[in-house]
Amino acid sequence: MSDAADKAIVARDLRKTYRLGRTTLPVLRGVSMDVRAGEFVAIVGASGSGKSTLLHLLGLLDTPDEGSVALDGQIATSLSARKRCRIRCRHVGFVFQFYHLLPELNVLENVLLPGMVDTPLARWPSRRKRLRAAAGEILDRLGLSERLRHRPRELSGGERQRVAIARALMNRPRLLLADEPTGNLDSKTGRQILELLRSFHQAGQTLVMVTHDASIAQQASRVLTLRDGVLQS
Amino acid sequence: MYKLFLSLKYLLRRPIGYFAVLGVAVCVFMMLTVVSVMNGFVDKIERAAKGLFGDVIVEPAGWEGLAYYDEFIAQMRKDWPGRVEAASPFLLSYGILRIPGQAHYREGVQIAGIRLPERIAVTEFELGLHFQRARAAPDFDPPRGELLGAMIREIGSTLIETLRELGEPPASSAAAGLAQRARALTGAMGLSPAQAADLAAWMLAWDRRGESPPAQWRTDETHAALFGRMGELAAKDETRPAACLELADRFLMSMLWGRAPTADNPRLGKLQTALSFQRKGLDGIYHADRTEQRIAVVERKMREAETQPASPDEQDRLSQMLSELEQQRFRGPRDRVILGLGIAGLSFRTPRGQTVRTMTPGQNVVLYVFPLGQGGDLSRFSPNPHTFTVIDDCRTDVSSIDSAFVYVPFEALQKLNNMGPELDPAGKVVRPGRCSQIHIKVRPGLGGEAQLRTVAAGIEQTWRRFAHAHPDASRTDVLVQTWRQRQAKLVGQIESQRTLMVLILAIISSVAIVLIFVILYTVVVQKTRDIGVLKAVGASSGGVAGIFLAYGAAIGLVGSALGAVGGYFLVRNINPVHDWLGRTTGFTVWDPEWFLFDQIPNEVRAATAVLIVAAAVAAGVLGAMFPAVRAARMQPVEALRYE
Repeated sequence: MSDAADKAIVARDLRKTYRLGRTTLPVLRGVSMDVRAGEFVAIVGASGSGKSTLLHLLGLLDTPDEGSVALDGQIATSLSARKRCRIRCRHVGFVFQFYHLLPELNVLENVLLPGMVDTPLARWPSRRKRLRAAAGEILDRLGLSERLRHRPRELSGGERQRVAIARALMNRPRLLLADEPTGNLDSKTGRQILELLRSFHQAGQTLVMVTHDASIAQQASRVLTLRDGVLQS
Repeated sequence: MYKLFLSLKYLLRRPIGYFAVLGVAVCVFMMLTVVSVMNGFVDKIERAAKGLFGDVIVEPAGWEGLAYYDEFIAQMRKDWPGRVEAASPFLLSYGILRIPGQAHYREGVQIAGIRLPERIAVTEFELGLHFQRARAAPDFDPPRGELLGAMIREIGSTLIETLRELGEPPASSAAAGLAQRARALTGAMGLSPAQAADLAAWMLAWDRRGESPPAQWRTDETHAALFGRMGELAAKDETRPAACLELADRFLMSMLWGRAPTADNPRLGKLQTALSFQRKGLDGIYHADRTEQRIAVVERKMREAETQPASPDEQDRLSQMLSELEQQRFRGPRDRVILGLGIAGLSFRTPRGQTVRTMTPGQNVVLYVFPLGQGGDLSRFSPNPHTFTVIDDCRTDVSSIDSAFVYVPFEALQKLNNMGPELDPAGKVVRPGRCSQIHIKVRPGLGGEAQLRTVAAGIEQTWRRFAHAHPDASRTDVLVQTWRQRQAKLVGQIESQRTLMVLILAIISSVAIVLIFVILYTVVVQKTRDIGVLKAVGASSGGVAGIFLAYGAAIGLVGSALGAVGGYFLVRNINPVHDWLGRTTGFTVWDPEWFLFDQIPNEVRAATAVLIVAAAVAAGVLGAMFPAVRAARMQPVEALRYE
């Protein structure tokens, strides 16, 4: 492909099968897709259609049985676990349906977490200030600057999801992956979150979002439909 | 970075971890306390053994002894100037101890012949002395003023104990009389007006204790101060003891004999007996010159009675007088004895832990020494009696030593043991004097057992050459041993007890590992989702494992720090705590009436504490190992999938 460098994601023939006891459950049966840098792609499908699994494969959280994923032109599926961790840390941000914030940490600490993971202990003192400033800036942009010292359980659902988005963006990843980011919110809050994600996309963020809600998918620049483990064109 | 950060957050914000911290703290606390006290025991035993024998012991087999000891010591110093610091001959014999006037008292003792102050360079003998503890170089001839001062203080402490035993004073004693007595006392003692007023106020308060009792300790402290002051005055000024004795006497009378002691209190009886013995000792020292003069007079009269015809009654009276005076006599430095503190009947301990001495300096004892150095016909073997004046007592804190040993001047025992130099009629030495052992102190820095063995081997070489040059130095084999070899049975026993104790505690402490394991495993299961999140934001498996290993280590560190601090404070204050336990619950592990240690050892070695803390941290990591591996193996997707 001539414009390989422009492709944020190139997935080829991804297959994944889960084993449940004796039966095998093929979830993905050969999915190929490309996402250009700066694109907003929505993946829709019924629940159980394998959209979350696809997202996890794209974000290197899971490995496919067959097929390959290339991020920014680099084939990631064949890399060592350590390198995949590093890519995940620096270049991919995840937003989950259930926020998945760490209850022991406050808002600022949750957002700082990817920054900490990327910083060895010895480097921490020299980077601490910069990372804190970066986290503060993102939280400010998300309207959470009053909530820095709050624990997740003290926040509303929308606030929690905004913290999760801030965390996902902390390391300025090239790719933001969102798994039903509005699925656990009421429609008004859901719309606000979606608006937020769109605004990041407009600022240039590559965004892949999984949803089962076609109306939400409408917001995307491109919609892919997953059915029975294959993409419908 | 996140590993340390998260492990600390978990430690602070997961209350379940507190239990693990507590478990570790308890184990470390227990371990540190027990090991420190046991170490204290071993130290005391070692110090006692070294206090008696020095670092290296040269000892011939049997009882014949070793001649030319001074020459041999000189040779050793010449051969090993870098190793031998000091050496001193030592004599050991057995005998029976009796007290004049106490027909029923007899006690088998081991008699040590020692050279003072030479011995102090070799052993730590001086540390156990009581009456000469303030002196730099104790010997068999301390200045009489100092001895008097020490005796007055001793009587004071016995008196305090007696007053405690007596309890409440009678209500009848007149406050005015007491105040007057206090003024008289303080004036004679040369106290300042402020001190005098304080003392008078105290005495009044003490007298009125029925209404407003002052704290007991204050009473004791004031007593102690009073007698301490008297002792000081006596030691400083040769003319004062008379006044002080007078005062002590009056004080005794007013405080003690003014009240009818309860006859059915045997402890009180013992204390009063001790007081009267102590007074006898004090008189003996104080009136030493007068006694000598009287003896001279009586002896002169006896000689006159021999030349001139006198009535047998008169002669009887004189010899009776002489034997009484002999009993009171304060003998010269060659005829003095230091008693082991713990010989049956010579001292006792009150339930409060106070040591009360009945045999004190100034009193006389008779030693029947078995002349073990004597060879030849056994049918003529009979003990050599000799009277000694008590000059001090000594404790090593090991009861098997303290209850058996008395110490007399080396040369005196040599003669009594038939090991002194044998002369022919012309006065020429036929056979030189002998000793039973030579005790050697090595140079500082050579104290380790391995180094001591090297020193011992060197000394053995010197001995072989020396024995070649002096074939009559010893008729039997000579053994050169380190003190540890010599005391292997005693030290080894305690050391193996300590090892056993540590082992048992280590097994018990392994429960802490299980505790950490269970708690961390629970946390890992609870934190499944968080582990998924961490992996999603880029944490590696090793990193996730690191969080939990660090968590385990942090539990170990915090728990052991708490336990170590707690253990340190308990050990440092173990005696007050023990006393308090005894008072409130009546439960005493350490009965001061039985044990010769007044105090439970209360030293904490830094090395021990560091070792225990390190072991606790290792235990924390060990307990965290399996949960950490499990956390690392978790697949992020599986961890995140379900809500």
